[in-house]
Amino acid sequence: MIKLTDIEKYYENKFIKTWVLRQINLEIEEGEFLTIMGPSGAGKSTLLHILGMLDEPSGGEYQFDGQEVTRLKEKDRTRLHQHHIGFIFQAYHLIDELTVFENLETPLLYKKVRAPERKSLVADMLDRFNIVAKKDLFPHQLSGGQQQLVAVARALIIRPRMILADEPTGNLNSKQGFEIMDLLKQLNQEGTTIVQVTHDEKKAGYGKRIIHLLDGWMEKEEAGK
Amino acid sequence: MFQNYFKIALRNLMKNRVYSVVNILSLVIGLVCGMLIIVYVLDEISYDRFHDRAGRIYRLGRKTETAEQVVLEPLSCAPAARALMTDFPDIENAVRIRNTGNIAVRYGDKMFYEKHVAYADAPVFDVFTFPMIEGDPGTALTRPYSAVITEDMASKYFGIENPVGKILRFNNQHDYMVTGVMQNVPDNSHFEFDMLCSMETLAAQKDPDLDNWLSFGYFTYVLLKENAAPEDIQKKLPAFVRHYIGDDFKVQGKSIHFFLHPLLKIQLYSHLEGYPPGRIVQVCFLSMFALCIILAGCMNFMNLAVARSVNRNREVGIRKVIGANRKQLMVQFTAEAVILSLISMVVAMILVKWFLPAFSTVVRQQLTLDFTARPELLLYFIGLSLIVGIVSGSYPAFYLSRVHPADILKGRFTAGARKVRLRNALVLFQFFTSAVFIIQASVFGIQLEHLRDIDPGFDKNNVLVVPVSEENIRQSMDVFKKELRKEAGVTCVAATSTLPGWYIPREMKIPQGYTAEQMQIMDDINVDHGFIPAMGIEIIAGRNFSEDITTDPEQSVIINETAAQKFGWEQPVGKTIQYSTGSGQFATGTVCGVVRDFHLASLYRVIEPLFISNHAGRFNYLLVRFQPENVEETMDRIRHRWLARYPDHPFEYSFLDDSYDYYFQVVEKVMHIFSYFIFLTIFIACLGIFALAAYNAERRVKEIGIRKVLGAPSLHLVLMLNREIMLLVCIAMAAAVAFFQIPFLNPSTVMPYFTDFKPVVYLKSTLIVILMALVTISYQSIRAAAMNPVDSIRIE
Repeated sequence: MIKLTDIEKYYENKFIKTWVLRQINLEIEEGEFLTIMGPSGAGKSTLLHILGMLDEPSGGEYQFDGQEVTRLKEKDRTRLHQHHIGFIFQAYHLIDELTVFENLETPLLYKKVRAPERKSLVADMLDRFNIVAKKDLFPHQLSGGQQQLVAVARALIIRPRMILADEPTGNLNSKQGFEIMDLLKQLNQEGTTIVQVTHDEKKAGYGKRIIHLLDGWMEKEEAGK
Repeated sequence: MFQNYFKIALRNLMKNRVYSVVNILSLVIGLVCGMLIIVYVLDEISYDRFHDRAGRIYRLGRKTETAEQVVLEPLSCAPAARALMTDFPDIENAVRIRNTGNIAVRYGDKMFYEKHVAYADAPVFDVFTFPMIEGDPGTALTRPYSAVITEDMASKYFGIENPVGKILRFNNQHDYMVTGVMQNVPDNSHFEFDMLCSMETLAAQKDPDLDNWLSFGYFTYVLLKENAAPEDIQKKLPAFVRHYIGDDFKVQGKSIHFFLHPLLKIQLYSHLEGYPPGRIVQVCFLSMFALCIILAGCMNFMNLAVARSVNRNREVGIRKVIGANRKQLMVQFTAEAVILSLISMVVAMILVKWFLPAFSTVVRQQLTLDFTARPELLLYFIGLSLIVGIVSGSYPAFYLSRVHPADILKGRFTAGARKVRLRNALVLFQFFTSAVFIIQASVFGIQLEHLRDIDPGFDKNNVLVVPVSEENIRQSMDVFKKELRKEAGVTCVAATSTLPGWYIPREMKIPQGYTAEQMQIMDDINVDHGFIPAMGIEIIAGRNFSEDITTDPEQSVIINETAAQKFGWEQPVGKTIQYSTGSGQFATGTVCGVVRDFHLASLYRVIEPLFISNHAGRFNYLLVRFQPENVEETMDRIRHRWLARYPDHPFEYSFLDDSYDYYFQVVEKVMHIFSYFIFLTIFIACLGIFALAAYNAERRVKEIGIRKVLGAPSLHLVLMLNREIMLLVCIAMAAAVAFFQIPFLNPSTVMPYFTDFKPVVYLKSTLIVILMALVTISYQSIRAAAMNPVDSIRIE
C-alpha cells in the first residue's frame, strides 16, 4: 500500500541545514501493525507526518496505492486524507470549543456527509466507545483517557484504511494506556493498517514490525512479539 | 455546515469577551456611519421621482455669456413656453411657474403670510404628478383667480370644511376661488408650494411680462413626447432664440442661449447662479467620510484577527488533519466575520434610529427610518453588513488557512516577519487617518473663530427685519417710517430691497469708461436714505442719499470701494453708471458717494463691486434698529403701530443677526458632525491599539516574568512593550503633516479667507494623538508589568 523511497527531510535556516530524516526506505503492507521507535529528535514524528501527508519531504518519493503523492495538488491530497487516513495524537488535539458530539461530527462535515447519516454514524461511535452520556460535554470536562477515546473515535469515524498514532498513550496512566492499545490491536485485526510512534517498549510490542530511527537514519528493523 | 460555524463563532465570541466587544464596537461604528449615509443618499436620489413622467420632464434654463463670464440660470421668459409647443412637435406640453413673494392670505378671521405661493399654467397637473383630493385637475386652473391649495393649507384656513368654491383674499386686493385641494407636496421635491394660482390671473391683470421675451422671471418645464431625444431639441434652440429674441441682447454685450435640464438631475447636479447648488458635492463628501470610517473599523477587525491568529492556529491544524481543505477553512473564518457583522448590524440599526434626527438637521433633509415606505433600505443594510463582514474576514481567513499542520502540531510558530509588517501597516493607516482628520478639524475650528471675528463692515445686532411685500404698504412706507422713528426704543429705521446675508441679485452695468460690450456684473441693492446710517456703514467719499435732495431716487448711485478700485476710478464721485431698467432699456445714474466694503453676502464670499440705488418704493424689507434695553416693550410698541396702520396684515418679523448668521450656523453644525467623525476615527484607532497592546502583553507574559525576575524595573518593561506601537504613531503623524503640504490637498488654496496652517496646529494635533495612544496603551502595559512574575513563568 505504501512505498517510501529515499525520503529525506531538512529545515533550512539562513544557510544552515538541519537534517531530520535521511534516506528512509520503507514499505508498508495493507493490514500491517508497524511501530516506529527512537530517542527524542530522531525524526519519528516527522516520518509519521509525512506518511500522513501533513508534511512534504524535501527529497524522495512517496507512493500511496501506487500513486505518487508528493506531486499531488493540495486538493487531491486532502481527499486522500479524508477517505483513508485517521490521526491520533499524544495531546489528543480535540477542538475545545466543540462538544464531544460535535468533535466527532466534524470530519464527516468536511466529507459532506448528509445530516441523518452523520447523526447515525456519530451515535454508533458513541455507543461503541460507551461514551453516549458524555456527548454534550466539552473536552475540558473529560479525563485524559476519555479525551483520547474521543480522539480515537474521531479518527475512526471516517472508516480509514490506515491509522497513524503519535504516542497515543503518552499522556495516559498505564491502565488507560493499555485499554487504548487493546483497542488498536482489535482494529488491526479487523483489517486497519496501524502505524504508531512510541517510546515505550511494552507498547511497541503490540506491533508486528518495529523499526528504529536514530538521528534521522533508519537503524534497524525487528519483529514484534 | 453553517450551524457548526455559527456555534463556533458564538462560542469564540463568548470566550474572548474583551476582543469581541472591541470588534463589535469597531464594526458598529462603521456600520452606523454607513447606514446613515445610505438613508441620506437614497433620499437625495429619490428627489422628484414621484412624478409619473419624470423621465420626460425638462426645465428650461438660460445661459448668458459676456466677455468676462458665463452665467447659468434656471430662468426663462413667459412667451417661450407657448412658442416651444408650436415650434417643436417633440414637445408634448409646457408649463410655466412663477413664484410670488410673501402674500398675506385671509379667510374670515384667519390671516397669515404665505411664502410658497406660485402661479402655474393649467397643464401643471398633466405634466407633474400632484394628486388632487378635491376638484378636477383638468379644469382647476383654467380660469383667472383660481387657486389649488394643499391639504395642510386646507386645514389651516378651512378646518374640516370643504374649501372648494370658497374665496381667499390675497393682499387685501384680490379674491381667489379655491378650485381644488391637492396632496401636500412630498419632501423629496426640488420645488415646493402651498398654493398654486392660475397663470390666467396674470393675463387677466394684463401683466406686461407675459409677452415680453426679454424679461426672465419664470420657470418653464417642458414634457417631451415618448422616445423624443432632448439633444434634437437642444440643437434647434439657438435658432429658436435668434428668431424670437434676435440681437436685442447683443447690444448689451451678452449672448443668450437656452438649454434643457433634466428634471431628475436638478436636485443633485444643478449648478445655477444664485440658487442652492446641487447636492452632489455634499453626497460625495459624506460618502467618503463614511467609507473611511467603515474601512477603519474593518482594519481593526483584520488587525486583531491576524494578531490573535496564534490562538487559533492549533484549531486550524487539527481541522486540516481531520480533513478540512483550505477553501472550507476560509469559508469558516469568513462566516465568523459575517456573523459578527450581522450582530453589529442589529446594534447599529438601533443606534441609527437614535441618531437620525440629529443627522437630519445637519444635512438639512428630513430623514426617517421607515422600512414600510422604503423596504429596500433593509436590503441595503443587510448588504452593507455582509460586505463589511466579508471584507473584514477575508484577510484573516486567507491568512489563517495557510497554516501548515505539521508545524502547528510540533508547536512551532512561524515568527512571520510578513505578519508583523502588515499589522504595523494597518495601525499606521488608522493613525494616519485620525491625524489627518484632527489637523483638518483644528484648522476648521480656527477658521470658524477667525470668521466670527471678521468685521462684517456693518452692525448686524439689534436690528428687526419686517418683510413688506404689498403695494399699498410700500406706498405708505415713508409715513410709517416717520411714525416708527418717533417711538421710544427705536434708533433708526431703514428700508432695503435685499436682506444682508441672503441671496443678492447681480446685474450687468456699464460704468463710465466702459463700452456696451464690456458690461460689468455688480451686486445690486436698492435702499432708502436711512439704510447706510442705520447699518453703521462708513462713507469714505462723497455723501449718503438724502431725503432733501429730490433727484437722488432717480439719479444717484452709491458704490463700494471694490467697485471704485475695479473700474480704476481715483475720483469716483461724479462718474456715471448705466443700468438696465428691464425690457432692454438703460438709464444713467451718477455716483454720489462711496462706502467702505462690507460683507453684504455671507462671509464666505469675496466682496464684489456693489451698486446701491435709491429708487422709491422698491423695498422688500423694513429694518428697525432698536435699543438693547427693554426689547419686549419696544417690540410691543412697534407691533401696535403696525396693526394700527395695517390692521389687515399680520405683523411678522425676524432678527437680522439670525438670518445673517444662518450660513454660519450651518457650517457650525457641519463642524459639529465633523468632530464626531474625528472622535470616532480616533476612537476606533485607539480601540485597535488597545486590543493589540493587550494581545502584546499576553503573548509576552513569560518574557515579562523572566525579565522581572532578573530585576527589570516596571517602567522599562512598559516602554519596551510599547516601543513598537509608539514608533508607528509618530510615523503616522509625520505622514499626516506631510500630507497637508501637498498644495492640492490644502484647503487654503480652495477657499478664500482661509488662513494658512500654522505649525502650532500641527504640534497641537500631534500631541493630542500621541497622548491618546499613550493613554490607551498604558493601561495594558502597566497591568502586565505589575504582574507577579511567578504567575507568569509557571507553565500551565
